[in-house]
Parts: sequence; structure tokens; C-alpha cells
Amino acid sequence: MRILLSLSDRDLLSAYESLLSLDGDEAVTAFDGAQTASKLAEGGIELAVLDSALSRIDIGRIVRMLHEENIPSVVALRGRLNTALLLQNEPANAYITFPFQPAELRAAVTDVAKKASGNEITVFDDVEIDVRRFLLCGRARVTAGEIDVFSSLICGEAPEKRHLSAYVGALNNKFERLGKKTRIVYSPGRGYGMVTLHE
Amino acid sequence: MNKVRRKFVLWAAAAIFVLLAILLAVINGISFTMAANDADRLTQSIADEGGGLFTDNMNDPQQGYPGAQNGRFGPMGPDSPEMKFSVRYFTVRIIGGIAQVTQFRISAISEQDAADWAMKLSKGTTGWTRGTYRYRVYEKDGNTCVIVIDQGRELLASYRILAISVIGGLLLTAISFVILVFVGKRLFHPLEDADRKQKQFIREAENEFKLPLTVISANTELIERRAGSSAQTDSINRQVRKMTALVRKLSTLSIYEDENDVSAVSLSDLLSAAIDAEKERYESRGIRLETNIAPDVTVNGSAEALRGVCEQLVDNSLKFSVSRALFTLSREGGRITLCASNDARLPDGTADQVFDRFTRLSNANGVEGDGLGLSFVKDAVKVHDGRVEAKVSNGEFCVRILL
Repeated sequence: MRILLSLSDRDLLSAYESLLSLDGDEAVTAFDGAQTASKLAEGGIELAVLDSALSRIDIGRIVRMLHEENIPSVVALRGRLNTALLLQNEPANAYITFPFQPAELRAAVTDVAKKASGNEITVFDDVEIDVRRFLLCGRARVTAGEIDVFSSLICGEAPEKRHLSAYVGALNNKFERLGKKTRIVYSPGRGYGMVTLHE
Repeated sequence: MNKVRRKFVLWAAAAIFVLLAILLAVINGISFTMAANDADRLTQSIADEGGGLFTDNMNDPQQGYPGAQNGRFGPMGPDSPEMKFSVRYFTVRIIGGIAQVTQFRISAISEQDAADWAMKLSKGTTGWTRGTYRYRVYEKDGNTCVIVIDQGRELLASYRILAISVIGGLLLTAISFVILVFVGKRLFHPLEDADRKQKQFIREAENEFKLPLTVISANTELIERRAGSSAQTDSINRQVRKMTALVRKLSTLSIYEDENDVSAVSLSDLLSAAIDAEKERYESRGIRLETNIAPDVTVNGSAEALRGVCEQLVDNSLKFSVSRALFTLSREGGRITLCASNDARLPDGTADQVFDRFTRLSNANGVEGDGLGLSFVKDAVKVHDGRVEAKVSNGEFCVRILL
């Protein structure tokens, strides 16, 4: 896979370039906004990993551009992942937070790539997620984390704990905004589950 | 720190208001009591003079008034004979159930009304009636007599003092509040500055550590992939994991200070979720877990911070419980109480130390941790205007959170 690796630190960039190569991927590197834009313009990028602290770049604009080109993106955040970030109009396809291990980045990249190349549609009651397009009910963008929480709950499995409240908060907010009756609630003893609100 | 300053200003203003209220209440109480006493002495004086049937002696100071000297009196107080001439009053004698007005020096009511009024008052002794009138009932020659004097003019002064007190008190409180806001800003400036610098340092430390940790772990993996893992790379990985956990905790601290991240949060759900997630670990360690969690206990606060509090309490209990752990959550009135207790076997007298940062007590030997957990709990609870207490007694350790 040809991956655009835009990281603000050259040591990090070099380490991950080598790691991706060892995994059999081709890393196209950039360490600031201008380089990122230029590498994107060259084309051929299949997935992008962006550092939220990149200089001379509006990450939101780049993510929007990537969405238009149908290139999935993973953003590495210097801050924390919260509901507000997930409720942006154009969130990235996945987020990880600094400091991260190579395994975390690899898992995020593999997961996003797999989702983007699949053809899965997950449905619960009046809600459906087009996993390939990362779209909730055809209108709201969702992240891989939200999709995983949604899918786990449909299968009756306990979702991954990390950033759970942010994902649950974002999903419930999106359900409400879309006028859907589905909600994620917590029941003591049973954990999180999906319910349908009644009039 | 803003909250502390606001609290200081509000409490100081409240204290000033209460002190002023007490002072002004005492002044006004004395003023009205003196007005009542003056009126009582006047009615007594009139009663002593035969119910207002002034004799000639009264106009002759040489004969009638020992206090008078050469026909001159001192300042006109209630004891002054002059006072009787300036007062509006009426006296009524009740003979055989019939009220007979004996003196009538008042124009606000008719004689008939005065007689009826006196009949009604005749069962009492002395007191205020119809707001500004003072009355006295006494016996004279076997008959009940009633004196009613109009103290409206005299009370007016007391009411004026009351009005001035109320307006002045409120004005002084408002002025004090403004001064306190100003003084508070200056007073708290160095503290706020130090607090800001400390937070800035934590944020910077957190951010500065993030990148190097990521680089170190990436390069360590690269070395392992190229040359295989070794004791050295394992050691680096362990230290990186430790530092990563610490940095994530520091990151949690900044969550507590995010005032925009406030909503109604179900503490019952958060605590239950935190416990449910670790039930298997309790079982595998042979710790008997008991819970008594009231449903629907909600708090207005940061979901992330409160989740952190619950998870930290559970994590702490898992690390240090020897054979049993108990969690209770209850709401009584407006007070929410969350208790986490266990048989951590801490020595008595160490309760206060558990909230100190980077402090690890004797039972933490060999247990992984950084001594930050409960200090974060304390910070998070404080941000939610709550209180945390710890108690150690006979090896039993209990953390109580009051919200």
C-alpha cells in the first residue's frame, strides 16, 4: 500500500518510514503542510497518516480533500480525543493519540484500509452504517472507532474501552441529529447496549 | 483558581453582609426597644398623674416635679412633664362594663371609637396596638383604666433609622463586594500566576514527553525487527510503557480543567461500568467484591473526568485489596456519597498521605504504579465542587467522595 506519512518530527518520520517498508508498504513522507499538499497532488496515495501538529497546514482542509479523493486518513492527535472532535463535519477516518506504539498505528492503518476496501453495511433498527464510506445513514461521517463500537454492540460484545465515552457520545449525538430513535445506553450488570426510543 | 477566587469573594461578601446585618439588627432592636420603653414610661407617668387629669401642681414645677429646678427642665425625655403636653393620647375608665373617655387629646379617631378600642384593650396589660399606638391598662379606685398614646411621630425616627440601615447595609455590602472583587484579583494574582505556571508546566511536560516516547518506541521496534529483541530492548519497552501511562495520566489532569466538557452524567453507570469491566480480575485474584450502587445518581460534570475517578478507584481497589472490596453509591437529599473501601492493610495514620502526588505507601511495594491515582481523584472531585476523605482503621482503608 502507498501510504502518505506526514509527521512533524524527522526522527519519527524516518523510523516509521522504515517500519512501513519492513511491513511491505511504500511510505511517501512529508514533514510539513506544504510537502503534504504537494505529495497529495502527485497522486497515487492510498492512505494518509497525518500528525495533528504539522506546521503550515489546516488538517481539516486536508482531511476534506482526502475524503473527496476517497483516500482514508488516520490522524495522530497531540491532544485528546473527545466527542467535539468526532462531531466535526469532516472527521478523519481514524484517530490515534500521541504517544502511540507502532502496533497501534499499524492496527489503525490496517483497520481503516480494510474497512475502506470492504463492502459491509451494518444495520440496527432505523440506523445503518456504510462501513466502506464511513457514513452513518448516508449523511453523517463516522470514524473507525465509532463503527467498531456500533458493530460490537450489535453483536452483543463489550466495546473496546479506550475513548469509549467519546465514541458513545458522538454516536448518540449523531443519532439524535439525524432524528433516529436508536441510542446507546448503559445498564448496570449488562454494560452498554443499543435501544430504540419509543414515543 | 478562578473558582477559588470567586469563592473567596462570595464568602467574604457574605461574611460582611451577615456582620452588617447583625450590627444593624442590634442597633434597630435597641432603637425600637427604647421607643417602647419611652412610651411605657410616658403611659406610666400619665397613669401616675391620675390618668391624664392634670392637676395644677403639674404646671407648678416647684411643687409638682422634683426634677425641676427654678421652673426649668432638662432635655424633654419621657420623664419630662412637658412631654405630656406634646403627646396625643386618650384615657378611658371602665366602670361597670361601660367605657368612659376621661381624657381625649387625639384627632385621628372619634371618642366613640376610642371607647370601643379601649374596651378591647382592657384585657391586656401593655403593648403596641394598631402599629404605632402604645397602650397601658391599670387599676384605679377599683376601676380598669386604659391609656392609649400615639407614638407615630416618635416611631418615625426609629423607622427612618431602619430604612437608612437597610439601604446603607445593602449599599455597604455592594461596595464591599466591588472592593473584594478588586482586592481578590490583586490578592490572588500571584497564586493564579503560580497555578497557571504549574498547569502550563504539566501541559508542556505532557506534550514534550509524547513525541520522544513515540520516537523511542518506534525506533526500539525497528531495532527489534532488524536485530531481534534483547534484554535491552525489552527494558526500553517496559520503561516506555511506564512513561506512556504516566503521560496519559497527566493528560487526564487537563480533562478535569475543561469547563466546557460539562453535562449530566450518570455516576451510577460510570461506577457500575468501571466495576463490571474488572469483575473477572477481582475473581481471579480471589477478592470478594460487594457493591451497593443506587440507580440514577447523576452529577453535572465532565463524563471523562468522572469516568477517570471511577476507574481509578476500581484500579486502586484491585491493586491493594487483600481479600475484599466494597463500593457503595448513594444519594440522600442533594448529597451524593461514593465509598470505596477494602482491606488494604495500611498502617493507621496514613490516610492523609494517600492523596499526595507521587506518594507510595508501605503496601505499594511490588505493586506497579506511580503514586498519582488518588491525587487525580482528589483533583477531579475538587473541580466538581466535591470533597474526598480517606480513613484508615485497623487495616481497613476507605475513600469517601462527597458530591
